[in-house]
Amino acid sequence: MADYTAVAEQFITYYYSTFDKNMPGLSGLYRPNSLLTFESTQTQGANDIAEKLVSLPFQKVEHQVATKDAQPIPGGGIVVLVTGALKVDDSPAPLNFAQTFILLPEGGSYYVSHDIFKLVYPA
Amino acid sequence: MTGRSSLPANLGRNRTGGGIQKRRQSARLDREGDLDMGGQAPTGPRARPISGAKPRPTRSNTAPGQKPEAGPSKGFRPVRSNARHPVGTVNGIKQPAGGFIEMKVSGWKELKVTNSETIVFLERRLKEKLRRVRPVGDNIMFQVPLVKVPTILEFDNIKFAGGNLRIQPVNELPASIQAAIKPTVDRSEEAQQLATLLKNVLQSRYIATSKMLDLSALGTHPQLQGSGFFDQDSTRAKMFPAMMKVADEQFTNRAEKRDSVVSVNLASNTLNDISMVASLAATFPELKNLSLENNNITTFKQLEPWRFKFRKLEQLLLTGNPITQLPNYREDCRKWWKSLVMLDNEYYPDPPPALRNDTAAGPGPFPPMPLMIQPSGVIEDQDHTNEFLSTFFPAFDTDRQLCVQTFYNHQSMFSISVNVSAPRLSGDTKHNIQKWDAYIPKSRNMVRLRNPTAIKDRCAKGPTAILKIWNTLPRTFHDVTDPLKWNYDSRNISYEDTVGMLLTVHGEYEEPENVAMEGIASKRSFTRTILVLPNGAGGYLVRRDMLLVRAYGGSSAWQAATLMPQPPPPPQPQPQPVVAQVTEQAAVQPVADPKEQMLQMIQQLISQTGLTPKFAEMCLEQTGWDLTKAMHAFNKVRASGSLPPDALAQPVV
Repeated sequence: MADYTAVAEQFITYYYSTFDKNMPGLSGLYRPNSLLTFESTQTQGANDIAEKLVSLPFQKVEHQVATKDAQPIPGGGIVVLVTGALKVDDSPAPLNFAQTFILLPEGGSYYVSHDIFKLVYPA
Repeated sequence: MTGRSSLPANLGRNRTGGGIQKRRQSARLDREGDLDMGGQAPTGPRARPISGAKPRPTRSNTAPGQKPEAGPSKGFRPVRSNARHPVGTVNGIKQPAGGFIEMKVSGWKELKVTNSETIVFLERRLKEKLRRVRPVGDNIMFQVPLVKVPTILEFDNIKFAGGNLRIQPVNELPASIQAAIKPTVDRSEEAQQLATLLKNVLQSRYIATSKMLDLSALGTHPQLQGSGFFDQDSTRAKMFPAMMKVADEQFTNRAEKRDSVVSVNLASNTLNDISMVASLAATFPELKNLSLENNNITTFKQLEPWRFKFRKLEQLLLTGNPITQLPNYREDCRKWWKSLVMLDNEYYPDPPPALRNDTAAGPGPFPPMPLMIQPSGVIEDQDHTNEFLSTFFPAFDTDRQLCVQTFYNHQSMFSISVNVSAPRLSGDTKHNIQKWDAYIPKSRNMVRLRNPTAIKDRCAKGPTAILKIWNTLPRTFHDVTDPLKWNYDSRNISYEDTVGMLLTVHGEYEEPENVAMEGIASKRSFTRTILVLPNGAGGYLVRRDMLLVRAYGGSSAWQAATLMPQPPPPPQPQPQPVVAQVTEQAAVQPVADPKEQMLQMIQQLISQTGLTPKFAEMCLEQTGWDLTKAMHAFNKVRASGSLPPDALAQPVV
C-alpha cells in the first residue's frame, strides 16, 4: 500500500498547481457524490464543482502552501489539512485559507470526496 | 448576509397545504373496510408492533425466497416508456415527412388573448413553426407535418393565460398516426387523474388515530386496481415516487410530518428492493415504525438507500422476507438503524446504540453557544455539532487527561502543525512576539518536516500518545460563549459502518499563562479538522483530530464573508482591535478629529453588517461607540429576527 503521506503530498502538489494553472482540470478529481464547501456555499458533483470553481471572481490565482498534514482513515482514505496563502490577480495582499480534503481510494487512485475551503484571514 | 437560520424546522419546508392533517376526520371515514391493519396499528409514537395481524394473502404475496411471478429480477426501476418522443418521430422512430395535417386550436377566445399572442405562445412551446396559420371563427387553424402530430397533440390542454388551450386535428387522422397517438392523448389527463387518485389513496390509507400511513398491498386497493396502475411494472414503478411526492406536498414542514406520520406500512407490495420507495426516507426522515413485511427483500444491499436513514426508527418489520434468514440478520439491522428497539416484533435485549441518549426531554441544555447567529457554511447535524463542540473544547481546556479519556480511544489519531507564516492581526501592538517554541517540536507540518520517521512519529495514535503531545502544549482557553469567535462546518460522513461528523472548526484561543506576560502574544488562531463518531454509549468519539495553530488573526474573515453578500474586503476590516487602535491613535495624535473617528467606525460597522448609515450610527450610539459591542448587538438583534427590514442597505440574501 502506498504510503498515505506520499499520496497526500502528491495530491496537494497536483491540486494546487492544477488550480492555479488549469482550473477546469480539477473536475477530474471529483465524483458525482463529491461535496465542495466553499466558504458558505456547498456544491455537489464534479460538474457543478468545476463550474463553481471556474466561476470564482478572479483571473489569476496563486496558492502558497504553508502547512500540510494528513492522517489515514479506514478503508484506505486520507484526511488532509492544508493552510496557506492565496494571491488573487494582482492584489498585493494574500488571502489566507484553510482547506480540508477527504480523499477516497478508487481503482488504484484517489478522488476528492469532501473539499472544505475557508478563508481564515481577510485581505 | 446570509441571515442563515439553522433551525431544523426550516429544513424540508415545502409548499403550503394542510392536506392530510386537516382531513383527518374524513380520512378516517374514507378508509376502506377491506384492510385489516387498523386494529393492530400503534396508538402512540413509541415503538410497538405495527402489525400483529397476519398479512392478507394477496396476489402479490410471495413466499420467502420465491420470485414474484411478474416482477423483474432486479426490482422495479423507473421505466421511461412514457418519455416524450422527439418531434418528428412516431413511437420514437423517425418517420419520413409526408403530407400535412390540418389542426385547430380552440379555447383562446375565453382567455382574453389575441390570436397572434396565442400563435406566438404555441410556436414557442411546440418549438415548431406553424404553417398556414389563420383564425377561423373561434378556432385558429394551422398545418403541421403528419409525423409531428403525435408530439403536438401532447400539448393538448396546455395551460395558457390562466386557462387551457385545446389542440385537435380537424379531421380524423390516418390509422397509422392514431396508433401512435393513443397513449399520448390520454396522458395529460392521466397525470391529473393520477395526482387526484394518489391523494385519494393516501387519504383513505391514513389512519389519524395511530398516525399511520398504511401503504400495504396497494395492488389490492380498489381505486388503484381500477386505475390499471398495477397492470404494468412501468406505471407501478412511477406510482410510488409520485405518491411520495403527493404525500410530501401535504405538509408544510418537517415537524408537521413528524407529528402526523409516525408509522408507515409497506407490507405486501412485492418489493424486490426499495428503490421504488426510497424517497420515503426523505419524506418522513423521522419515522418511528416501518413495516416491509411480506415483500421479497433478500439482501441488505436491496435496502442500501435506507442505510443510516430513518435515524429515529424504533421498530422495523421484515418478516416474510428472505433477508430474515441471513446470518447475523438482527445484528446487522441494528448496525444500519442504530435507534432500533424492536425488530420483527421482538425486542432487542439491550438499549439501542443510537448516537446518544435521546431522552424524552429533548436535546437537553447545551452550554451556551448560540449557534443561531453562527455564520457557518454547512451544519448537517445541529444538535450533535453543538453538543460536541461545546463540551469538547471546555474539556480540552480544563482537563486534558479527562478529555482524552472521554473522547479518544486506541484508534484515535492526533497531529498538530504550526503555520508560522500566517500573518497576525495588524494593529495588534500589545502582542508583539509570537513564540512558537512550545509548538514547533511537535509540529507535523510536512512542508517543513521532511524526515519520514519524524512524520510518522508525530502522528499520535491512542490516548497515551495523544496525551503525551498535549502535555507539551501550552494550556488553552477557548471561549465557547462568544459565537463571533467561531466558524465551522459540520458534514455527515460515512465512516466504516457508521455515520459520523466531519467538523472543520476555525476559531481562537488564549494561553492563560501568557496573558500576563508583557510583550508576548497570548492569543492564537486555529483550525481543527475533527472526525467524530458516536461512541456507542451516548457520547462522542474523536477518531481523527488535526490541529493547525497560527498567529492570532481575529475572526473578521468569516464575519465579513457571511455578513455581506459579496464581501468586498474593507480596507481595515478588523473590528476588535480597531477600537483600541483608534483610541491609541487619538491619544498619540490629539489633533485627530473625534467626529472623523466616529465616521470611520460607522463606516466599519456598515461594511461589516450592511446596515444603513443611520442604523449603524444608532447601533454605535447605543453601545457606547464600541465596535465590538455594536457587532454583538447587531448579531443579537438579527438572530432574534427583530431587525427592521429597512435597517439594511443591501437586501438580505
